[in-house]
Amino acid sequence: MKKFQESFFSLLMNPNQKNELSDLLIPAGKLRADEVMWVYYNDYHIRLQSVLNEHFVSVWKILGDDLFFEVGKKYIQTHPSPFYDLGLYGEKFSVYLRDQEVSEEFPFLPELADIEYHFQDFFHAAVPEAIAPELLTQIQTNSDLGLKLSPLLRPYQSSHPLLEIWDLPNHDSKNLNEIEWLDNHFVLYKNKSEKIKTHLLRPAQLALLELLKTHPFLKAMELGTEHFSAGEENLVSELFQFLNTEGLIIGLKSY
Amino acid sequence: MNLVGIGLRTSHYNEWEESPPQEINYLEALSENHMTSKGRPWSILEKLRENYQFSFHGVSLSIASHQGPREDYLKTLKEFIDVFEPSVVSDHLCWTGLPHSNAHNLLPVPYNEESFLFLKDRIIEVQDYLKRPIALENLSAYVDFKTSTMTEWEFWKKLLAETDAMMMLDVNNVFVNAQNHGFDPKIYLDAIPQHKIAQVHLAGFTDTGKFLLDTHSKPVYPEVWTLYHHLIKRVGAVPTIIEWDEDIPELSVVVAEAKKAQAIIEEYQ
Repeated sequence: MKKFQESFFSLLMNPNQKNELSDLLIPAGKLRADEVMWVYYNDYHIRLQSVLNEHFVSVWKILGDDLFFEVGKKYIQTHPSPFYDLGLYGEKFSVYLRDQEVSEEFPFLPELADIEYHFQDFFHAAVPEAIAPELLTQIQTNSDLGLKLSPLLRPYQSSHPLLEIWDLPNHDSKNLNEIEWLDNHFVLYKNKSEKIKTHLLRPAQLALLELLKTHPFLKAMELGTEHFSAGEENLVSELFQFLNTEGLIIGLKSY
Repeated sequence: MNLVGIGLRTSHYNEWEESPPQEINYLEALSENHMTSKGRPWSILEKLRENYQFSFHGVSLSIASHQGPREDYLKTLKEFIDVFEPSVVSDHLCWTGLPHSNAHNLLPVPYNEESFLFLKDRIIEVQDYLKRPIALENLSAYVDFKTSTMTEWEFWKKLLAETDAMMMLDVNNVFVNAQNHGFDPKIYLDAIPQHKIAQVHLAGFTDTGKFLLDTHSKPVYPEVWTLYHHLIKRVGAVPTIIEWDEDIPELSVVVAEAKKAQAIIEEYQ
């Protein structure tokens, strides 16, 4: 069984070759023996490409059919699927794009692919329960306590207008040239109502958010407030209001 | 009441949540679409199980893989079915690739003694692990092997006789294989014992000109309905599911296909 399956799989991946199984194949219908493994080869590529199409709609829109399918074909050839769940395929597409020529012309592509993959990742994730507000008061007095933020909260800090680019497939007539080229700082998240959303943040808010993930609350506040200019104090409370309203603080942790 | 229904598909989630059809009572969920998800695919099952009986159908068990099914897959599947307790748990009589390289396709095996003995052991192992019987589906295969020593239906008959496994009898696949490999589909259907059929699948195929391709992209063909008649006349009511996986139409169109199956079952009651 092992030898048979290895031979079959080898033909499936490269139908042009011949091996010890080639002469033992009885093709279906009017197919010739040298055609039959192409049915499986084509099906393999169609299935994996269709997952890339589904996950990376905005990357596809930017590249257009020919270029996207060409990049997809090369990715599929070099990245076999280790998953039993086909829906997880494409997990390295973002990293793969970094070294591709297309990313020289469109340098935001890897970041865009990362957002698109995590969007589907969040779709399948359970939303953790938010912490009861009364428990939060402890962090004001205990210097060893920090906030535990939802794992379904992913910050992005880009020198490209990623959100606008990501939204392009929703606007048939709009193209890349019509986007105002501003930096984007935002979070992708899944809220307590199970909606996957994005929220723009100021750079200082994003910096504070990163500190809150890795430091005790009081220390994070001490370090984080340095990023805010005079008169921007309201941005701190805005950030916490956002985290609270969307149910993104899920507990406390000791350091 | 006869169990007749359709495959639950993501593109119909909104319709299922807003106005679930009352004409059917049975749904088949694709195991892999739900078992690793704790998002909407999970919550919709929780909601629909209140009013519909469920079966779970997988594509990744890979029971014929030379290494046997993946333990992480079996563990997740068991946890999933323990929560929802579906009436039927099924997958395919196939392998899907090599370790760390999944073809995400249902790949055939030669129908011979070696495959039989191998599968017999794997079926026992899987059923022991899941602590319940499983049903296996007959494939649409585009290649047969000179190393086969039995017909496909002889192989099934032997496997069903000598194991506790049930059969997920896909009538469309029987027709597709009959056309592609040149045999009489009625001989195949007649060889399958009535008490070993856990469920029936019906679907549409695509004629490529050179061979029939199992695409699940069209309504059930008249020739396949004829075979379904032939089967039901002999075996009586069996749980039946309409599968539609590509170019998926509105929910009502798929439900209408299920109603045709229901009418055929009633004709022979």
